[in-house]
Amino acid sequence: MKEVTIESLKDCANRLLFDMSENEYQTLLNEFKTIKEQMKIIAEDKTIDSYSPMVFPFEVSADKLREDIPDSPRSREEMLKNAKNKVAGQIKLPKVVS
Amino acid sequence: MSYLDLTILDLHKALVEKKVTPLELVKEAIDRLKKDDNNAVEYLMEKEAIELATNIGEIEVDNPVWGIPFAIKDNFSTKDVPTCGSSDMLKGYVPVYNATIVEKLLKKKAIPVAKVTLDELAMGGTGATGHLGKTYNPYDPSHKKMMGGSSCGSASVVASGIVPFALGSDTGDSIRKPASYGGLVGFKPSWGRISRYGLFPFTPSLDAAGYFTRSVKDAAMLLSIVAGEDKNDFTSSNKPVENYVDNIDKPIKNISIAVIKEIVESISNETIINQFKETLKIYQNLGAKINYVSMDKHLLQTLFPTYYIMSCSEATSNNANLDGIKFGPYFDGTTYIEAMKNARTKGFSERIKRRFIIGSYSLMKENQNELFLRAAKNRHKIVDEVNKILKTNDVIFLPASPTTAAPFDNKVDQLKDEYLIADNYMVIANFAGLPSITIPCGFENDLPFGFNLTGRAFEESKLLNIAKALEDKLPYYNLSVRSKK
Amino acid sequence: MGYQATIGLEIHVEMKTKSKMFSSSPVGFMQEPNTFTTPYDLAFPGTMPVPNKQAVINAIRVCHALHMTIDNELHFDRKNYFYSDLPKGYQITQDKRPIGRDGYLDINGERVEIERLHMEEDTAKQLHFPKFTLLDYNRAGIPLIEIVTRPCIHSADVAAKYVETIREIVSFLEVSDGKMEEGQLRCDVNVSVKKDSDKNLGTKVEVKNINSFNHIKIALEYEIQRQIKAIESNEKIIQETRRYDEENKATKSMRVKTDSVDYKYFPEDNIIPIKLSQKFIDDAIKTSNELASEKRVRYKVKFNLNDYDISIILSSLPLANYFDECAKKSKYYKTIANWLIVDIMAYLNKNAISINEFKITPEMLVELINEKESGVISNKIAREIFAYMLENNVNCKTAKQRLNITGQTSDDKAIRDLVIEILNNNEQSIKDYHAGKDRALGFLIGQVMKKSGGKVNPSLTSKIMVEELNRRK
Repeated sequence: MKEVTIESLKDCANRLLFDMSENEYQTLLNEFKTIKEQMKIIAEDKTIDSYSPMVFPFEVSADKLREDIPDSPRSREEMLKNAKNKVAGQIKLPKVVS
Repeated sequence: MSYLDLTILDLHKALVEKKVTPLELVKEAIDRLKKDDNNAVEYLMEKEAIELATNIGEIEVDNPVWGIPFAIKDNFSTKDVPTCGSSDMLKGYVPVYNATIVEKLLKKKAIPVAKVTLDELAMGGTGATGHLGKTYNPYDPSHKKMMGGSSCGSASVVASGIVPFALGSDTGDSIRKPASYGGLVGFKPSWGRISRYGLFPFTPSLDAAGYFTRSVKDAAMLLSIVAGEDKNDFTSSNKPVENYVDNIDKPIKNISIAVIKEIVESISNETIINQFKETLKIYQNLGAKINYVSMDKHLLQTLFPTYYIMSCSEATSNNANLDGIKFGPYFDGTTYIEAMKNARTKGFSERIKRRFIIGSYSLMKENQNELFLRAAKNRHKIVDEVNKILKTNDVIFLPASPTTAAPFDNKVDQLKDEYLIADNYMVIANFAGLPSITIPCGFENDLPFGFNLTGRAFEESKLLNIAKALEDKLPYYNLSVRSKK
Repeated sequence: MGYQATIGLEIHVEMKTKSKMFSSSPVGFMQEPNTFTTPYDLAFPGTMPVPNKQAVINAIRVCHALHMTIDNELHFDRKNYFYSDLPKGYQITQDKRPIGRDGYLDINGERVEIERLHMEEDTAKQLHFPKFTLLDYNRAGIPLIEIVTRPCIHSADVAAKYVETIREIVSFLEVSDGKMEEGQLRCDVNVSVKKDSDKNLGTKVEVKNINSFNHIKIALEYEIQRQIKAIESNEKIIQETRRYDEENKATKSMRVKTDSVDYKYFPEDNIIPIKLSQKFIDDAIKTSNELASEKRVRYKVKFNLNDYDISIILSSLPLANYFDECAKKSKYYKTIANWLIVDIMAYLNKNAISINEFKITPEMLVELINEKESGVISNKIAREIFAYMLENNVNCKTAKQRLNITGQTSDDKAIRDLVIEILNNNEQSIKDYHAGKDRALGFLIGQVMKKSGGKVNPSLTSKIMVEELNRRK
């Protein structure tokens, strides 16, 4: 496992596209300490790797799929009403490619 | 006493007998909401509700939710009504569609009067972390005690007697814990029983839509209305929806009730333990069999970290759509990265960010095995153990919380058993997708507490039946701050 | 010193289903921006994915065409990354269990091994301007299949032919129009070069932005040569992403790959596993269109067409469909091919229209061809009728009536009268014929044709002519 340091947490935040204040990283570091302590109990369980990682709460599967029938599209005004920057019926972003 | 103070089914009788009109009810509810000082409301649907009540038409005698005012947790999408999940990230967001559960209730002419607050993006258990700050427990006028969360607003308005029911969501115990602190019936059905379409996702395989009521029968009646397969939710179950009220008064003779010893033993509050023993006697007197069962204490200690790693991991992905581009109030910068970063830095509280980092860290290639996947394996083990208990027992019965509503400045030791086990065990129902209900069972120093029943998947009918049997023997039917006075 | 290039390809194909991969949002190509969306496409909170049946059927059909093992359960995963065109901040794809595994295509006698085929959803379309970028969500959520080969191709030629064959497969299965220029088929290529004597593969370079079939070979040949030159001058090949620069017919460095991106894959828990019954899979295959490769064999073996004709007919699905419709109603396959390739193609090219817009239906064409082949009308007359049909949009019968072409041409008596008339005026030719000069017969028949204005059946005329000549021995 990757070592948890202020630096690695900052890198993680950066990849998640946000900043945090400096003392939050310290709080987070302590939080991680507790979690690792708690996770240790699981690590000590010798049987744990005989269980498959659970995705759904119980055995469940579908035997049918959605028919390929389209809904009518929503109006452009409605769909873009929550976007902050718009131009010519499109969402406007600062330049993406240099 | 006002008609608004009644349970849904009693209120329905009054509506049928024309003793009161939906418009009068809505106006009174709005009035109470305006006067309420528990900080529960995100958006008051005054105009919308009055319009619906005014144009509601003729009484539908066979439709128990006709004209009934209710509140909606603000993480359910509501068309043309602001919905922000109590996060600044979504301030001003006005959805273009209704969540299925909302749509079903609107079709049945129930009338939403408010969007109510929650812990930010439903991630929290105190009801103190939303962007409006603390939501107060109406049983403590000094505003020192928490409502519990994340469905704090929903619990608060039902406990205050403002509305007879409110929608909530439950990922760990977000309905059932505040129900205990608020002396309410709090119910989450099996995974897939109620469509999640329109519920802001936190951890999809644990999330459940549910609600608070002031009677078990109301909870049963509502389930028949809001359950069912939904073409917009591929995980919704196609099992037939039952009439859950039909079997609610069946005798519970020969029912097997399991009590997990290690969980009871981790609770130190004597009032709660004594009352728990009293209720066990009630069940025995009704002919039920009580079985004390055991679960590995170490496994119980892992409930919380398992939940935390899984839910943080999923949350970081489920909220990655919040980048300020399509919605949200912040988006500025000279590059798109800068703009997205600005939006997310300003939009999320530091608490949420910490959860996202923990989750993202757990999902990293080099960490997945030891964090995310190990948690998922442990979930499997827990579920296997719980299902073993339910193989020979109809329900698991336990106190819903080890204490009454905690004070806001409560400092808990997160490595202590009372916290790791008794305060977090209800997540087993989410891990295993089981129906689970909290009902009010006692008071300590004028603060209510509740007990919880968890049944087998899709056996809601039986679970509600067993819950109602206890409710009938306790003096807490239609409990609210108003009825207590 | 010899070198070996090793190429692997990742192809994305945009499907032309009616609705999107995970929502009932309508699919519309070349529409006004943001007019073909529903809440899922813009990732409004609370929306959920519901997989499209037709997209799964399409994927099964392509898997089958590529000789792949088809999974009997569908599982989806999330690929997490942030980008301006990715509405949810993750893409739903199939990471752990792709629907298809371990297939192949034989290209120019070489086997191209296909590692996996999986389904996923497309991103929003970005329109870049010098100072800003615009987002159009019409494309967001359109179903994609991604087809990944093993690094097993060693020439630009085979790589280009492979992509062409994939295009042919998806277009004949009507999974996609496969137009590279419109981004319906996108191709990323990994290229490395090593000395023949080296055991390990060289450093992998990714080439993106190849958006026309014609550019694949050029881009790859350039890149292979560039890497060989670099090795020869002892330069280190750096692991990077390059793009094809159309103007200079060269690849240009885009970015150097540092650490590889961690997509933090995990299972999509909003989609429960989907069991695909053997019947469902079999039905998808059974009801699928005939592949171009199957048609190729049929045209060759059953219809006896030559390779050139076949390649023209199979250059597009509508053309092949047109041919097949004709071939159902007439056994004169070669004649149909000729008309299609020569006359019809010339007309289509001249008018810059597609076969779908062509007014003469297969039924109409077959009627004409059958008349000609059974000798009712001559080739010359047939072309006259064809021209008239085209101009006036009428069928063969009407054209004949309006052109006053009647059925007398096969009338034995009428032909015999003409033959006698011609013979009476050509004593010398009769003598020449009996003297064994074959040319005389051709001359005499030619005279009959001329006199009749080409309206007599040539073989019948020939038969009668010989009879009458023999009578005058």
